[in-house]
Amino acid sequence: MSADDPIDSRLRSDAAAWRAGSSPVPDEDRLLGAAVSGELPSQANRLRPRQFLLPILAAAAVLVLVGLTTFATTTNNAGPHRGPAGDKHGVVLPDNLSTPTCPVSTSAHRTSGGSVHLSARRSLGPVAVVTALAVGTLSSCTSATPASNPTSTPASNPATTLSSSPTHAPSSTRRASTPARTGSSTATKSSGPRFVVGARCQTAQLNLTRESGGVGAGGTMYMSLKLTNTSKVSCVTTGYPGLSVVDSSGKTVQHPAERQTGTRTQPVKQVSIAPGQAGYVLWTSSDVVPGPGCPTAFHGSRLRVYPPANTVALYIPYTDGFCDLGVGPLTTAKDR
Amino acid sequence: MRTSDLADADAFRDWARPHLRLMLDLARRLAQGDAEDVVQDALIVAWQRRDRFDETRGTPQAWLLTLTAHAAARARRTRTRHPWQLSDQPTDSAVIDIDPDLDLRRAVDALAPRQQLAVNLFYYLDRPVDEIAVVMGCSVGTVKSTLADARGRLRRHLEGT
Repeated sequence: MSADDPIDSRLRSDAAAWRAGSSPVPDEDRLLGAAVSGELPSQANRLRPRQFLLPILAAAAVLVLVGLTTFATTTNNAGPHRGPAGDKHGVVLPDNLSTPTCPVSTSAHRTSGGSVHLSARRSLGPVAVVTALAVGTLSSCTSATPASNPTSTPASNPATTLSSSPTHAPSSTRRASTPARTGSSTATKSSGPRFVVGARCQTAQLNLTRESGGVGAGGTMYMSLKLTNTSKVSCVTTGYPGLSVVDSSGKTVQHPAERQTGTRTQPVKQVSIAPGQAGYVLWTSSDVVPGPGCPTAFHGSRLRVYPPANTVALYIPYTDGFCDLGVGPLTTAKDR
Repeated sequence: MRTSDLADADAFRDWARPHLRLMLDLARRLAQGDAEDVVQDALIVAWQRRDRFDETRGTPQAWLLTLTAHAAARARRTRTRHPWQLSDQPTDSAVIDIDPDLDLRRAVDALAPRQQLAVNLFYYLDRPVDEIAVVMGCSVGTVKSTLADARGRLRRHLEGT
């Protein structure tokens, strides 16, 4: 950093020229707003091909070893060991392959701080392979009991904040790249989910519309929402959506809809939505106003719907009065 | 977003706003055309990990610059791996250079990532060495030696051409 270093002074003068030409932040509010809205995925949370490759390789290695074990057992013992070992691994493996995420990397990513997660992700991949190989070798040595199934090791789901759906894969904690919903054109270059794994319905695949009309019965107004699969692939979803009415600043009005479990609601079932098809959600509002707990009707500006097991919401305008919202599970039935 | 996050969101906006300019400048230096995407990405990560920010380990500015550098590295990796996925604008039109030292710019771009980060923070963003140490997660001495190495490499590069 000596002043007589020609490179140092050259850098300084170029930096001064660059700073003079650098313009201020064009749209602070857009940058900040999009960040806190949670509607744009960070690139840090995107699935990368590498994360698919290593578990698949690990699974393939285990498959080969199990095959060898089975073969050896068959030829040597022809005993009772062969069946369970072969079956167990044979059944579990395709499961793992159908949800090719890398939960080992996920946990590294989630638990480590910003400065180390990149390297941790890199280093853990090989570890998974080595572990799989080691366990595979172990089971081929002992050959009697299938040692703790190597493919199940990475299946411990490190982040379960969204696990309301019993069917979702570990991949559900990641948002596949979602198209920008806040009017930002610069933030995403690809649209739609880049990798559709396990085909759990993602917000980005769904379009929310309100079914016309509503039926009042016994002090309750029944209304229907339609979630249409606008992507080119089928997806699967289970459970209740999150539903609330928000005001213009995004605050929930009164309280979010309560999940309805009574005999009049549909049972919770896994729903598969083909491209172009739709799932339906029945929701309710008390129409006895004033009534118990409802001195006056509440008003908001938009209806916010989180599809089951998603953290990204869909919005439609909604200005009608309401009170004590209720919501049923997502079903294929249009009516209650 | 949870309802309780709303007050939080306002606080976060106020907290991050003063540092946007530096974040964007660093992103412009490191990622050219993707600068705003990079800042956006860094802000999303900052928002998601806001609970983990530790004041004892550095200023908010240093933390945000760290996240920006990481986001720029991610953008760069994505682009190297998926070269077909080019950004719409190859250069950031927001920076209008009067008389840029193009040889030097090219030489800086050819530096190792850590050297590039150090040079950009020190010269182009005019950050003090101790702050750079926090951003880069190393000691002040390492920052100084990284800068010296970078200057050495620049000298060889520029004199060689």
